[in-house]
Amino acid sequence: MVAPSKPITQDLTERFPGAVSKDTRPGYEGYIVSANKLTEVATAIRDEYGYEYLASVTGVDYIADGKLEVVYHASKMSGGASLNFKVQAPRDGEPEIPSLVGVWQGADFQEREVYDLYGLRFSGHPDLRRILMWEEFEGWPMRKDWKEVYYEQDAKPFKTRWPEGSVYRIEEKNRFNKNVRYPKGFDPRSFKSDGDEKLYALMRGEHLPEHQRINTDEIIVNMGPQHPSTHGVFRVVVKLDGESVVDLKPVMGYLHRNHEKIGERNTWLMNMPYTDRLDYLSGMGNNHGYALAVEKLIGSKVPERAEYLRVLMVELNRIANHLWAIGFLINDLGAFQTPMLYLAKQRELILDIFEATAGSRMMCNYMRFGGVVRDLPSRIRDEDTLDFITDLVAERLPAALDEIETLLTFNEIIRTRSIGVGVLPAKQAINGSAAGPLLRASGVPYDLRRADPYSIYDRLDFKVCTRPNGDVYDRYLVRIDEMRESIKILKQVLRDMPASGAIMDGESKYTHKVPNGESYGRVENPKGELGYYVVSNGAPNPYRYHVRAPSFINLTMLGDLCKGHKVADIVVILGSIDIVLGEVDR
Amino acid sequence: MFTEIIKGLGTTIKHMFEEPITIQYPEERKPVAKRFKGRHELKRYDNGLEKCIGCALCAAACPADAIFVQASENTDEQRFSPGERHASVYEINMLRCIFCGYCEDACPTQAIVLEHDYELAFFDRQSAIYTKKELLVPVPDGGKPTPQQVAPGSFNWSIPPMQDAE
Ligand code: SF4
Ligand code: SF4
Repeated sequence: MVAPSKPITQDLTERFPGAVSKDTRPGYEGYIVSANKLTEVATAIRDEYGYEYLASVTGVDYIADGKLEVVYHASKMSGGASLNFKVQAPRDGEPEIPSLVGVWQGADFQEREVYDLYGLRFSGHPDLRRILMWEEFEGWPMRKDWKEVYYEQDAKPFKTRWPEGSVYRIEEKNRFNKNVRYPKGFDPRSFKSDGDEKLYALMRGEHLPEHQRINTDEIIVNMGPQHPSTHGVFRVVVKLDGESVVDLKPVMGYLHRNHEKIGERNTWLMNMPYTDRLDYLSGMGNNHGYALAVEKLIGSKVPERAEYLRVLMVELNRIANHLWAIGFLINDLGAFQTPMLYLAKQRELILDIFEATAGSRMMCNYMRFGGVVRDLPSRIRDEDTLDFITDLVAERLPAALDEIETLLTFNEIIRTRSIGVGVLPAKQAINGSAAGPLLRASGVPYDLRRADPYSIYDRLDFKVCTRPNGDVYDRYLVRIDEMRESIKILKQVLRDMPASGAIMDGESKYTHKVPNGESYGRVENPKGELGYYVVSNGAPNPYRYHVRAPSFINLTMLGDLCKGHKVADIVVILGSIDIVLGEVDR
Repeated sequence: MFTEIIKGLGTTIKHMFEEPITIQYPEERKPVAKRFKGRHELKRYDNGLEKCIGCALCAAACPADAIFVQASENTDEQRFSPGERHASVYEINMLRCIFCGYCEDACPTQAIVLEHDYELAFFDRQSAIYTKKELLVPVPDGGKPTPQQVAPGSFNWSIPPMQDAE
């Protein structure tokens, strides 16, 4: 990546006349790039304009125009708003556009996802297979004309439930045990998947000339999906030479539920509780990102107290998440459960705050467009609320962090197992769209709370934590540092929060009039940049609802991180990336 | 290496003398917060009338399609709830419900409330569908069970004035 000698101010349309045009649809922004120039324009965006980081890639099906669109969001590491550019392809036939994996490694999984869900091929992609669905799946599920088996209507509320006497119980139509349907001529008993065979053949190198293929002492092993240390139903296919990893490919989608399709059926507000279930360890952050994306379209102004409440909850959530992440990392390192439970003890207190305020410990559904749903309660666990939170923030959490540090940071076993393991160089971290602690542990000071401040983060004093080496140990340290910074933020929030005031912009509403247009809302979630790309066409439900899931994209680099290490290190490296399968598979 | 072990043991010993935070569930139960969103209840007025008027707004608000409501007419001889209509069938499928609380927010009469029961386990899927029988709270002291026979014209309003809960 060549840094530009002088800042380029020339507009993209002038730089590439004829190939790039402004997106002029009302409510839209960014550029439309013609497909045959895409690689060239993307390279210029990266090298000349300085947008080194490809945050998000996603598809949209504009069925009325007969077009599929791929939307890219690129960011500068120095901060600022992201640049959005699009490519269009006809939706009939076999649409194909050039792949950007050569420009940004981070496009790898995301392009596969677009291919999987929209049937849009990316020419030049090194490994274009389905990623969330299985290889034999028929149809492209995110296309607007694809209907699920028990399709009822395009949007909720379904007429079968509401109102006008046309009601019937869906349970009666789809009797339990009889609600599985197969395509014509499909026999589940004789079905054999060749998707796995394809993958194994690829790993064995059967497409390569004879002398480059797998040598005889290498074997291919499956780890997962039923494996105690993969943090859920996640599977990796590993090529091993003895104990050493030669190659590794993640296989996912076991928890796929087509969250985005569900989201496009739901009304805008109904999606809020569903976002909790993406990264279920940080529900508050998920709520926040979605609220920001939609608020941008609606144009609501969040009242002061609500902003503080949001940050209070989100930062508490960050600590809860990192405690969990570190606890599990230690678990992965072989220290079974005990240290994790010490950390879980503190996390419980944070969850108590959520329970007392929002009514649930994890699936909080706390935020609404324009504010939050409830103010703090007067008491938590028979203590005054503010006393409880202040005590937690000022006394208990710092003490707990000190305890972790004395116990773990200089622990010889931890250091031997983690220093120099799974090193991610800064350059690759940026190019591969790593996010969150994974990126910052490689020495890249990129944190959306500073880089593109939202909510009230521009007023708060905190530091973006980085560590230089990019190994497992540094990721652990970055998480510890971030918790300390979060405590600092929380203290300021408690000090500055207005004692009372509105918590909603206007009345809390059910149906929202969302103007036409697109919006990309993003927050720095504990696991990295969580983005929501939403498109509205004025209907009560989103036309497009996409989640840029940090856990999913961070896995792009898992193969590279594990190469050369031992089998036992795969678990540790995976643990240090900190994934949640609810978000990976969506 | 040796110091680490001592240090680690030190922490273990320290934690040994702390008050345990675990409890012996199910003999002991941790109280839930006041706002806790657990299993729903259909509320009654003090006189025993059901609050639910069968408007199905909760079913419309439910993101998971968990609620099924069928409304029927009230008469003064057979009165279930104030106003014109009541829910003759009211069911929530607890396997679908995601406990978001939107039904409670949507209800104009505060009839459906997410209460504190969180122990929901079933032997089969059919029993996960809670009907009015399970959802409706018992008749309060001094109230009469529904349907009631009332003086004509005494309950024409369906949405009485109310206060917000905390
Ligand atoms: S809590 Fe939410 S999901 Fe459950 S019945 Fe009510 S509206 Fe539906
Ligand atoms: S519970 Fe409330 S919202 Fe639902 S039907 Fe009854 S009155 Fe209407």
